[in-house]
Amino acid sequence: MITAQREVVFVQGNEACARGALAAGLQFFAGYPITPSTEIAEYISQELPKRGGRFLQMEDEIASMAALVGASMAGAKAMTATSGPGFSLMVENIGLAAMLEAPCVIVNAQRGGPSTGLPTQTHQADVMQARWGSHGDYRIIVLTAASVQESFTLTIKAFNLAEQFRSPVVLLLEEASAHMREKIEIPPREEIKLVERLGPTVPPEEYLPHDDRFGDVPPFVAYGKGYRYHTTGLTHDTAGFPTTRYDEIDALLRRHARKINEEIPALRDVEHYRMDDAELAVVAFGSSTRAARGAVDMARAEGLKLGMIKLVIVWPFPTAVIRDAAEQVEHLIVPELNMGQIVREVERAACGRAGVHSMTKVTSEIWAPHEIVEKAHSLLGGGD
Amino acid sequence: MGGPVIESEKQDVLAPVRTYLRPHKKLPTVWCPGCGLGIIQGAVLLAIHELGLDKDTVVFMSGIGCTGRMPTYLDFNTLHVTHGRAIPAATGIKLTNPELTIFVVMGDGDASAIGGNHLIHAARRNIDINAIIVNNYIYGMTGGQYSPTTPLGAKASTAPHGHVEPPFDIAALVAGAGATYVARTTAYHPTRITQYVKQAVQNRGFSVVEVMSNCHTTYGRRNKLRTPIALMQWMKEHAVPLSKWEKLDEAERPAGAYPVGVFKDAPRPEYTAVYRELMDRVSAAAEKETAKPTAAPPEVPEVPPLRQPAAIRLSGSGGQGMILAGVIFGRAASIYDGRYAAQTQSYGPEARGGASKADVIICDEPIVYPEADKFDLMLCMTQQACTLYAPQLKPGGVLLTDSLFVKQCPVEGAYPLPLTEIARNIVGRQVTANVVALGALSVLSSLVTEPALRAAVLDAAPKGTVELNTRAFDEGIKAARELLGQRAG
Repeated sequence: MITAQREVVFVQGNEACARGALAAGLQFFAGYPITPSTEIAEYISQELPKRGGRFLQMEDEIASMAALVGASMAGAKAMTATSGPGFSLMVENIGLAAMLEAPCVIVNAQRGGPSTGLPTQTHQADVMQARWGSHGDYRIIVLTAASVQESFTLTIKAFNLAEQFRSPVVLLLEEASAHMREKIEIPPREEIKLVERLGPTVPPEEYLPHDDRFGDVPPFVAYGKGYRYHTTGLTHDTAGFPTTRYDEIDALLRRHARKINEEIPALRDVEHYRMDDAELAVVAFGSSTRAARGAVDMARAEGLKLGMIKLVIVWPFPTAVIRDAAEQVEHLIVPELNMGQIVREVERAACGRAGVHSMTKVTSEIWAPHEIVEKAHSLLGGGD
Repeated sequence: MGGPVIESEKQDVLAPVRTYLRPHKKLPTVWCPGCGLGIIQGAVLLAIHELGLDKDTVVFMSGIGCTGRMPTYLDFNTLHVTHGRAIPAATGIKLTNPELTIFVVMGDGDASAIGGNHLIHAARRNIDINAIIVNNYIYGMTGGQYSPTTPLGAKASTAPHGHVEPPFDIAALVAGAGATYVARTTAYHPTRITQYVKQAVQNRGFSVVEVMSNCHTTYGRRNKLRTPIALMQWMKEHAVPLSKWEKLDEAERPAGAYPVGVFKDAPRPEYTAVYRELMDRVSAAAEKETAKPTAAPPEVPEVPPLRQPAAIRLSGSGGQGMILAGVIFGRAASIYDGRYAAQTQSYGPEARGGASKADVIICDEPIVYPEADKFDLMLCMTQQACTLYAPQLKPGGVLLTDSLFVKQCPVEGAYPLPLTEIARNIVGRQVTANVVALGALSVLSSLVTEPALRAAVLDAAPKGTVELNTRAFDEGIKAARELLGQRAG
């Protein structure tokens, strides 16, 4: 129902993402055109300058991601949007963003790969790249959207997590949801909760850009505020200066690991659907959760006690959630639009407590509910 | 130069420079004794001092290489990023906060090899960044590999047999790419460095000061210029003032010599200022924009329940507006009829000229599976689409075809209507055939209500075409009613 304040629109996933970014207070966007994410840049190029923000089309995705890091260090809420081939170019400076602890949001509307792959068709094959794309032992937060509505709400959430944790955050869309149109509700501004990065708590002479005295997320100051500090992509001490001291190297990398960790409640976003009495469960993320939800209802109508665990935040991976589920059910079914990526995490978490069954599909068709139900039947029938 | 340096004068020169060095920082620098970088750093700091820049508003940054370490020692906002990416990172900083004065110090490899693309695009944009490119012909920090500026025939650790590539002329490159201030000097000429850096900062735009420098450790050692003094001497002898250089014929120019001086000082609008103007213009226009009066939601009759998803396919060829029709249908069903709807379309070459389709799934429940292989309602605007898709019509489903194009229908009971001819001859614009079709569908199918579809058509109508689209929609309704009447009769 349309109320006075609540805007209801019928839009593409990409537009929903762009609107989410604007609602989250986006101030800077740098990107490079690529299917199937381009509509995000187009919408933002139209709207952002009207709101005092800056849009910039860079010479490539490497430059886009570098510009994002710069804008973030200058204090802006910054975002880019791309697809697999562009994400591959961005990973260099995603590592830099992690190292500098520069909050920013990277949207990857996944298409088929590898390489140029299938520009207009859908896959979920970048879920490992999102986590491990850049070199070195870094941590990152990755969310996955299943619908046009989630493209809106999770874009806002991505900004909030980036700000809260001083970290790059990846939001994975899929061609299927990026180009699909659905009805979404846009809440009034005052109902949207926004998080801003923590400012300095000490005077300039005591400020450390990678401080570990106030917790694992260091306070942040933008350039030009009287806090002149150094920071670098080199391994650094808390003051931001390069170091090769064993104790300082260890302290830095361990703080990063503590900062973004599956035990942190704010970094756990998992939905349980009809899991209370479930004997089998589907573990899914992104568009596959839609088919999984349909499969649960379909199976239940046939007397099969199927439930679903939907991973909204896939990284850090919710090991404990899957472990608990594996204690409860006999079988975990993991449908993905790839050759089997997250299933390996599920196997690790289940650790033999339940059977883990991978369903893979790389044709660029999405999962249909009945396919998952058939898999469930085959498991209970003693098959597989 | 001559004469002994008087101690008091020496202190006068260096005293201000020291105030820009970070106290308690890890000095001495990582640079080899005799490296030109120390001279260059001092000369740049003197320029900043003489310009009276506020330390808090200066951002001094770098990429990778020996130059990359310079910001570490300097008491500004300093940032050391990835190899070659200092300029795009600086672009993000400058565009976010144009009040900051930005220095980017790079080596020849950082600036013109890995960062070469960023360098020329920053020059093209004319963004107000001051790039100091220290050109020592070599990758120093990694031990002497050849760079884009290594001279032909010179030796490097990766050119042990002599270099076979010609070098870049960085100053000419950036001048050609659009930088608005370009100068070159050498580490032998620190007062020139100071002078040029001051001019660079005063230029509102992309400025490049190329400073030829010495790497005796990795370049000189392999090229018979083993000491800092030998290289300094070499630079002094091979740097020819531009005015003199231009008077020399090619043959008269000594081997290895290069011109020094100001190559370009040609201001043009600066990027962040131009962008500021754009922001002011569009935000002023947005303020004036009276919010489009939102039409009162249409009076929608009782919508029949739809517990199971229904699938609609609108198909034709690229250019017939099938995707727009799909969007309109989805909007009508979801926003005005209050159901859930998911609309998808085919993309790619097939949407440009060949078969084009938009699918809409509607339901009273959230749609879990936004695709279908059987359809309740279908529109086929071409023979190709009809042949391809009509077999996917469900038994009892409704199929509307454009009788101008569809001569053979593989299924029974289709509704043929001259949609394109109605649009062309009665409405007066062929492009409205998709709206004529939507009007007809509102009669032929109960999946969407007529007021909802009409409202969605008008939402999508460009300015000044409300009447045209209303006429097209009404003509579609009329034609469908006549056809139903004929069938009933």
